[in-house]
Amino acid sequence: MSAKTGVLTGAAGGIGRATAERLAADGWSLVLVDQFDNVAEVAKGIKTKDGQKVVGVAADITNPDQYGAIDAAVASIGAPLKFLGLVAGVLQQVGSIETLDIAEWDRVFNVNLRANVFLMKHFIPALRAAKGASIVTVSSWYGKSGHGFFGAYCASKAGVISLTHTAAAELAADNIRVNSVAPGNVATSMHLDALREEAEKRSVSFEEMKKTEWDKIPLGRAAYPSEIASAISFLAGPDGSYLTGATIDVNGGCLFT
Amino acid sequence: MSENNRGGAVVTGAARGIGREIATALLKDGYGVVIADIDPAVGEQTVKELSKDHAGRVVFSKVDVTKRDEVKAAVAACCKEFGGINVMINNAGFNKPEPFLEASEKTWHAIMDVNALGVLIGIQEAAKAMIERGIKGKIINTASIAGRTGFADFAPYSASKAVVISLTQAGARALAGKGITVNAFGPGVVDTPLWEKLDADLLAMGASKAPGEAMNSLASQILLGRVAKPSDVVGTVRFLWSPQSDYMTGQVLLIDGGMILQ
Repeated sequence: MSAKTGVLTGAAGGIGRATAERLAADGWSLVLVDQFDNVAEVAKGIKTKDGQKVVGVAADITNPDQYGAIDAAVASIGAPLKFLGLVAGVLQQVGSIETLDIAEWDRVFNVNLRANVFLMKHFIPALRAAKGASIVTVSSWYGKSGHGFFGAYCASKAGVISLTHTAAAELAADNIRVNSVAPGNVATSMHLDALREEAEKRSVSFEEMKKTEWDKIPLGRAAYPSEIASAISFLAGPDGSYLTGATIDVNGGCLFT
Repeated sequence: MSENNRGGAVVTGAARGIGREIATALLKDGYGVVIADIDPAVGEQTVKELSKDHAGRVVFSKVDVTKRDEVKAAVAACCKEFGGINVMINNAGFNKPEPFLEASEKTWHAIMDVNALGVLIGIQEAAKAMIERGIKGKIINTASIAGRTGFADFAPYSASKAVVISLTQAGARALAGKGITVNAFGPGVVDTPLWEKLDADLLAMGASKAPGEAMNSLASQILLGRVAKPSDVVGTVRFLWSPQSDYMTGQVLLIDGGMILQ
C-alpha cells in the first residue's frame, strides 16, 4: 500500500479514537487533532506498522490561526494528504429554543459547522493535489430529524449534511469524494452525559432516560464507537470509491430515512 | 479467493449484471453461493465460469422470485450445500419504460410482482431459515435511486423500488429482535444488461434519438462524471454483508456517484 496521510479532528474523543485505531489498521498515517492536550498520548497509543506515523496535535479547530501546527505535522509525515475526517463535535446545553442562550447556539455552531468550513477551505488544496482523496464528516441522526431541547445541536448537524452535499458537488471534478456518517446513539461519554442532563431536565432517573432512548433503537443498544469508525473506514477506502454526497446512517435502526 | 468458510449466501438475479458481481465478491470473501435466477441457461453458464476459481462453492437454483416454493428451495439448497444461510441478497428485478400516461396495468403488475413481492418473499424465506438455525444473518435488498425519486418514464419501476425501501424498513423492525439486519443499496445508473435494454427501449419509445443517448444524458447529471460499473456497486454491498455494518439496520445506501444527493 502506498503511503497516505489523513487528518482527523476530535481524535481524543470516543468516536475519534476508535476511528484513529481503525484507519491506522487500514494503513493510514494520521495527524490526530483535538483541543485536549492528551491527543499526543492518544497518538502514541495507536498501533502502527513500519513506515506508518501517527502524530497528535492539540489545536482549537475553530481558530484557523492554529492550523499551522497541523500543516507542520502533515509535512513531518511526508506522504500526500488523502483524507480529512471531520469528527469533532460538541453537544449543547439541553434547553428549549425559548430559553436557549444565543451564545450557546453560537458555540455549538462554531465547532460543529463553522470549524468544518474552515478546515475544508484550508485543506482542499492539499487534498486536490493528492489526486484522489476524500472527506468524511460526522453528522448525526439528530441532523436528520429535530428533537426537543436540542435545537442548536440538531440544526448544526443538519448543516453538516448540507455542507457535505455542497462540498461533494463542488469537489467531484477534483477527484475528492465527500460523504457523511450519521451515527445514532453511541456509547461515548458525550452520549451518557447528554442522557444524564436530559434526565435531569425531564425529572426522571438516568436509568429510565437510558431505557427510554435505547428502547427506541431496534437493535436495542447504543453503538460501539468502533461501529462508527468502520463506516468512516469504508467511506475513506476503495470499496466506497463511487460514493459521493452520501450519508450513511449507523444508528441501529432508530431512524429510517 | 479465501479458504475460510463463512457460510452460505443466496443471490437472486445472479446470472448477470450486478447480481453476478455480488456473487463473485461473496465467493472471494469465502461464502458458498447459490446463484438464484429465472434463466437456467445463463445461470448455469455463470456457475460454470465462477466454478473455475471457486469449485464446489457455487451452485445454481432456478428461481422465479414470485414463486415462494422456488425461493424456499433456493434457501434450502443453500443450507444443505453450505451449512446455513448467512447472507440473502434480494436482487432480482427488471424495468420496462413506458411514458407515464401510457404505463399499463400489465406492466405495473409484472414489475410489482418481481421487484416488490419478490423481495417480500425473499426476506421472509431467508429470515425463517436464519431464525430456525439461530443465525444472525444479513438480508440485503436491491433498491434504486428510483425508489427515492420518481422517474417519469419508469413509474411502476420507481414505485416498486420505493416498496423495496419500505419492506427493508418493515423487515428491519420485524427481525431486529432476532439479530437479523435488513438493509438496502440503491444503485444509480449502472452499465448492466438492464440498462442496455432500457437504453434501447427508450430509443424505441422516442424518448431518446440515438443509442447511448438516454444513458449519457443521465450520466451528465452524475457528479463523478460517469455511469457506474457493476464493480462500483459491489464495494458498498460488501460493506453491508461485512461485520463493518453490524450496527446498521433499515438503511438504504445510494451508490449513484453523486446524483440525487438524498
